[in-house]
Amino acid sequence: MKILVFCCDWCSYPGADLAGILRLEYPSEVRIIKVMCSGRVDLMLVLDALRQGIDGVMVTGCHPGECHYVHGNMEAERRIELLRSIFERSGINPRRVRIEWISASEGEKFAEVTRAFKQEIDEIGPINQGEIDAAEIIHDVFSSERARLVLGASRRAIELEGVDPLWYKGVLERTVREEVLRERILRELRKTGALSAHELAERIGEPAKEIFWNLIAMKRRQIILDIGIVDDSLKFAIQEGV
Amino acid sequence: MIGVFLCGCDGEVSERIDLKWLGEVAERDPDVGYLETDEHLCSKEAVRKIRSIVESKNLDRIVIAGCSPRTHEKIFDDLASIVEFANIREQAAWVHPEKEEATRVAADILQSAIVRAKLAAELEPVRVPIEPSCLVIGGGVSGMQAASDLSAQGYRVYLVERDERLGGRVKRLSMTFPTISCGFPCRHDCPECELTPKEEELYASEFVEILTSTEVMEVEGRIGDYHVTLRTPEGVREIKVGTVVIATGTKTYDPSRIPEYGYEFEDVITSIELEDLYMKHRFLGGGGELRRPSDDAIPKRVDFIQCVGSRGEKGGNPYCSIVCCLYGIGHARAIKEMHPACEVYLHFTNIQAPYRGFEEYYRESESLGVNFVRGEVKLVEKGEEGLVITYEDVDLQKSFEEATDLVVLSVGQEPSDGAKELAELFYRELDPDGFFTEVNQKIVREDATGVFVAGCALGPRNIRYAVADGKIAAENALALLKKGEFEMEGIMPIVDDTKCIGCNICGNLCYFGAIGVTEEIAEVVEGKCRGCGICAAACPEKAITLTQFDDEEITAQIEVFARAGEVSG
Repeated sequence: MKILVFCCDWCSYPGADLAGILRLEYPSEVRIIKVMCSGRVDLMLVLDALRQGIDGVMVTGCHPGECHYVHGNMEAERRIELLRSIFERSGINPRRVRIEWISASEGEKFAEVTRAFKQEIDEIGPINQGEIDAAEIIHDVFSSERARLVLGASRRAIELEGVDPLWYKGVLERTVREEVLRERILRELRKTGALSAHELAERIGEPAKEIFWNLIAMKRRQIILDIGIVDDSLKFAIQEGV
Repeated sequence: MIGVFLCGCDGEVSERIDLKWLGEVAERDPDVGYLETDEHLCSKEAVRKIRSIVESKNLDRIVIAGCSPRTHEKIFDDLASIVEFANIREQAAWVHPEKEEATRVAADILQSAIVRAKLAAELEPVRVPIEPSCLVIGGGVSGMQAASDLSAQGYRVYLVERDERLGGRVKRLSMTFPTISCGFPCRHDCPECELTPKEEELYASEFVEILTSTEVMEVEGRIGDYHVTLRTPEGVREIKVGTVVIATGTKTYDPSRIPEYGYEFEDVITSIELEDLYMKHRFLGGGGELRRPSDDAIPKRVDFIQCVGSRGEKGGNPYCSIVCCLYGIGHARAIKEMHPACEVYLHFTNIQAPYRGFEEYYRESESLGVNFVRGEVKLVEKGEEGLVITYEDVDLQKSFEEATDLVVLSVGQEPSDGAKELAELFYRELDPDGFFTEVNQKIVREDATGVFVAGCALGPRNIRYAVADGKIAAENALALLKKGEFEMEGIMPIVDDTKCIGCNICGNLCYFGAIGVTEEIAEVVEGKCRGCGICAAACPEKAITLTQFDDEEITAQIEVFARAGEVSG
């Protein structure tokens, strides 16, 4: 089993050091990557770890209100929360990612949360191929423009422009789910060549109607094209050069 | 070529981790060209040795495996152009008792450090010049001291004070305790007093410009180069300074927030108003007397109420205001000396007497006839005959309802008005109580702002410590000013012009105004960036890379950990 913990330079990394200084034992599955701020943790990095078979990823940062960069930790929380809600409907156990606040003086807490996380991963078992494949897809979604734009603009919308946070969260989740679906459509098309909405629906397990509208949207953006009616149904294929 | 240096830390690591095997793992990497193990890498001899090896073997990158970089980073930092640390002591040796397990973990940590060393780009250090001047905000004793120390070294100082005169709260005090004298605080402008000569010295200095009735409106810039817009009585003015000292002090607690203390009555006054009363009589003649506000009569009984707005009493601020015990007792004694027949009561819950000489001063005042009453004051109200105070005496386990002539509320200190706005202008944090946060001494890191906070702006202080703070802030600013330039840590976002679409998501996320779209694409303001990387993580086009923490380096580390079992197993 493998657990990856992102530590921020100001709070949780010295917190982990303190766990060492206090000789507190914590799971040997834990590996630490230091970043300056938990706000540096791009979801791509979390997903990269999962798709490479790491069983659990924990992002740790300063307690709310104590971030050295003022709101980096809140941004990290927003991202991890989004990821967990996306995981719920993508076949990845959302408990594989979590966020924790650990101050520089909380060596004990560092040991505690890593132990608890290990126990949790023990309960849900090692990451399986289905989860790895899903992580791969979501990774690609979070390396593409649309999901990143909507996620990145969260703070501007909610805190600077006063958009209702719940409404925005809904938009954000819908956008990412849609992108996940489109990514899956693309993968199926890449595998098989040309498919109709119904065929795609069967393979992907989502309603044909939803798939059809996404196909239209993708066609408008010139990612795919329809190659006309074959065997009584409209087939779609990937545009050349995409 | 990478050189790997393993430290045994005098057994702390070498007894818990198989360093020989660890060395073999490192040497398996084709880029590792040199390996050395030592029990004491941080010793002077070992550091000298590393330096000569780096030179003779032509190593441009080294990995130090041993303690946390937080411990000895500074010792190894300049030994090669790229130095990476593998924290195998705190993260392996000390947390995994099984040697085999600890060694396996250490191998992963070491490999990830080696990978980082491979990928790390050599950074051109960013040096920014420091304008040889300082802005001191707040003309209380702390700010005055800072201004005086800075100007003594020949640096230009702008001393900005919101009030009409310098001196801050101290100028309203009639005396200080326990050294009863008109020393620092007196406003009689006696030539022998301390505050007056300090003020005169500042006014006389050719390096100090005193701007009273002036406030800070806007701040632009970075360490070494701040453009500050001031609102002066003559109009708006812009100044350019290299460093800033914030010494904005505190305000006193407004006791009308605790209605049961009856502050609306004329003869219920705050300790600061008591000072004003003394002063009034000094100026009118008849100094050395206390006459109450309502009828100018000498009171026959005075009740002091301590902890007004402090220590969580009656919903006040949760912290101790430091000065109230001392001045409360001091005034009580002074009244007793002026008017021996006057009965003086001091209602308290706890006397906090931490300074040298204070305990004795407190005990002595009991023998001088000050009545110390431990217990809560329930109510101050106006009866037919005058003020009535209802209080309990915990030691006697009794409640009393007695007539009194004058009630003095020993009010505490709280953050001054405008502290929040000022903190935002300078990107400083405030603690939950609203004071500026102090620099954590345990996190040793160079200041990268050139903004130093002194005195009560950091939390309640007495005069002595506020003055000492002013000296410290001046020292810190001087260290920077004398260097004349500042070398940035080197963690910086770099924007790829060809990818940036100008969405300004980075600009909306950066708290420090260090990155943002001004015209078409995002630009980084050198000297403002603190290297958190929130912009790089959020850029929709991945147009921003962060030096030292870019995606490539982090994903390479992830890969090391993900493959771990297969490689080192």
